[in-house]
Amino acid sequence: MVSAMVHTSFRVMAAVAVLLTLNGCSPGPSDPTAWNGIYVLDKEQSDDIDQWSSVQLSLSASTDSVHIRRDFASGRYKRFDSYGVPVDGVAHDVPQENSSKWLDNVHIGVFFRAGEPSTLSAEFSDDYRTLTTELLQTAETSTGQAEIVTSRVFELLDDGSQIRVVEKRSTRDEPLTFVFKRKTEA
Amino acid sequence: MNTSLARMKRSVRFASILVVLLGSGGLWTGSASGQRAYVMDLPGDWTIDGDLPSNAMLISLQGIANKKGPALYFRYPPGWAFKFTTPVFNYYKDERSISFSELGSPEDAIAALGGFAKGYVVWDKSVRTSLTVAFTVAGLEDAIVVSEEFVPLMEQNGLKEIEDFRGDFDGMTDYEIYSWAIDKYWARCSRDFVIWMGGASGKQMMPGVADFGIYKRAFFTDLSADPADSLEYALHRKILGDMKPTAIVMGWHSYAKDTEGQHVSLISSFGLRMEGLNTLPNASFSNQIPTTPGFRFTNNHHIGRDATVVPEEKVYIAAIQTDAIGIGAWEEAGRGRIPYAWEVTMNWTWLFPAQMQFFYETATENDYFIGSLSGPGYMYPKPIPPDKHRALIREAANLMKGLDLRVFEIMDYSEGNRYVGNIDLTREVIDRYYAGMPDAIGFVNGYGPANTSDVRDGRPLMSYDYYLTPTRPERDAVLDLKELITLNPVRPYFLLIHVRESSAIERVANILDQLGPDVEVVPLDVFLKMAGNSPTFIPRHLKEAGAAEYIMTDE
Repeated sequence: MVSAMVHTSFRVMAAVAVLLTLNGCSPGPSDPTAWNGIYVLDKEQSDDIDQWSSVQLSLSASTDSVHIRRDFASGRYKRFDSYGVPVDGVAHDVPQENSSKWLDNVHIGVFFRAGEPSTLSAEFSDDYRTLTTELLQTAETSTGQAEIVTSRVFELLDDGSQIRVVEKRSTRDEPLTFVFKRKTEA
Repeated sequence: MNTSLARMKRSVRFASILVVLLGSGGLWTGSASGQRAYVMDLPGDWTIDGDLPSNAMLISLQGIANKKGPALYFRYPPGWAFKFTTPVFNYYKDERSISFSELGSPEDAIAALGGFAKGYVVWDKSVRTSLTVAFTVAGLEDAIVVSEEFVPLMEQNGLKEIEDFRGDFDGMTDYEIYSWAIDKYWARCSRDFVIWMGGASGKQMMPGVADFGIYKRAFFTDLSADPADSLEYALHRKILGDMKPTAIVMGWHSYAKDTEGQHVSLISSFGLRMEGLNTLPNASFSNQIPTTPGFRFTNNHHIGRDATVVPEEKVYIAAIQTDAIGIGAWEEAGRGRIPYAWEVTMNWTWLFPAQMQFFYETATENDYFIGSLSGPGYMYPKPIPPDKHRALIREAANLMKGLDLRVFEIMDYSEGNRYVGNIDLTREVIDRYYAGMPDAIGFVNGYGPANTSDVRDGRPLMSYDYYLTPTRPERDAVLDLKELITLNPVRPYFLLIHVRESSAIERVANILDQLGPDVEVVPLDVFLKMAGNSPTFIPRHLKEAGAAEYIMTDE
């Protein structure tokens, strides 16, 4: 399972964000903590996720860092990946911890081998209304290895009630769009 | 009705059935030609409050009646997992000259064939498991399985009560019920066949295979293979441990209790084999219809066993439909449009010979059969003790020879499935297949995509690179496949697709048509020959089975 924490300061930042929220400082449009919460995929408004019955997105952000976790489920089977990086637009190492199928499409013959390098960058823009990430991974395929660059643009919409993610992969001809509805506050 | 009068009428009726059946050659002479049988349509509500009580009664009648010869055949309703009951019926009628008389109602069926039974067993509609136990009783005692509303029908036909489970199992767990059933019946049950009456759960049961279990006097259960359910798991192990080494577990696991992976792993660990599903229809009938004299199973090979084909610098695709030919798209429109490989449930060659002949005789040039699944039946190689596995592979190789099969398929869900863990093979397991199947031109592994591959003396072992579900939109499937082609820029690239059984071939062909001019769909044997002669895939295997970590190793 992928799990990468890059900055030790991240947890402190997240805790501060939570405290601010609890103290009644409700996040405004220019506040990264407005992203914080759990969101559930709206399958009607999203591209097909055939192999999964549900996807949940958990976000925790501050002015310094962001932590993104995705939980996939199909019946009794559950998987997740999780990344935490500074929001400085710089590619940070997030090495593959365990060998794994490709959670973005478990029905494709793409695998990730433990220890393979990968990087992730993240950056807020548009007054914290947009979060852009770029993930570089080295995949194992039947004929060898291949690089996959996955760019995701997250947009916080409708006063924070939903997130739209437009995903472009270097290996796929067309972008994918996913819409998540807010399930919980931070 | 006066009991003695009813019994007299029953005896007269049964004698007249025998005269009818025997008078036209009989159904138990070993030759189907010119014989007679009954046929009936089953309705499609399999709930306890729906048609299950009457359907269970009829299927038990089928198992009992067919003990004396193939007397009763059912056409199953639309939506039934095995889709061939009407085409095979037509085949028996038109090609095998079996003369069928239609039965219009359960009452007609009991009147016509109830004389084969010695009595009836009443199951308790408030305890679903009592029906599973009643099937065991049906086989041992030739007792028709009825719920209470059918008791008068039994009495009207002069049948006597053998068991009545109403109220007997109130408040008992499945473990307690099956423990009781084992104490009472297990000693008399078959050690060659055991029935896992699983699949649907709750208010539903789809006991298509029950006739076969009754016919073979098998024990029926749906005990869990989940080690967390320690009591049921232990009882499950006891049953498997008591079976003969060559025994077959028929039916399916209970979706409510465990996973397919747990179930087949446990069976495999005893060196036993599985034949699915709980919905398998008319097995007691088809078990007794032989192939026609002189018939030989002949596959549609597209290339000589020792031929060499040099591939071009392009993408080659082969498509395989698994999960048994009978539950898939065989009867759907479009078959023959593109090269397609079909997983053959090899034991059908001796379990249901004429039914298997039906598939071979209706194959087009583009339909290519392959052996399955990991052995002589459905099993997983990693949990099988190595000595038993080697013997099982030899047995599977013999079945392949009889069915003219040159490609063998392997699947292992003992450490994962399409979502979690791995479905890869160790070097040791791969060695056994290469050694035990020297005549195979190649091997296929996986269900969802897997990461294992090998090639030895031009004979490749290739894993699926794509799993096409029936629900994936065509546009997304096209983009998926194009993405795979981008991710594998080496040419030739050999892309093996597993098509889930309920995908229609027209749909598959439409998807493959959109992949561009540099992509060619070829027959599986040609695909494997090219891949074996010009391998561009990286040989890999699982470093260690049962390890805490999933680690692949390049050769």
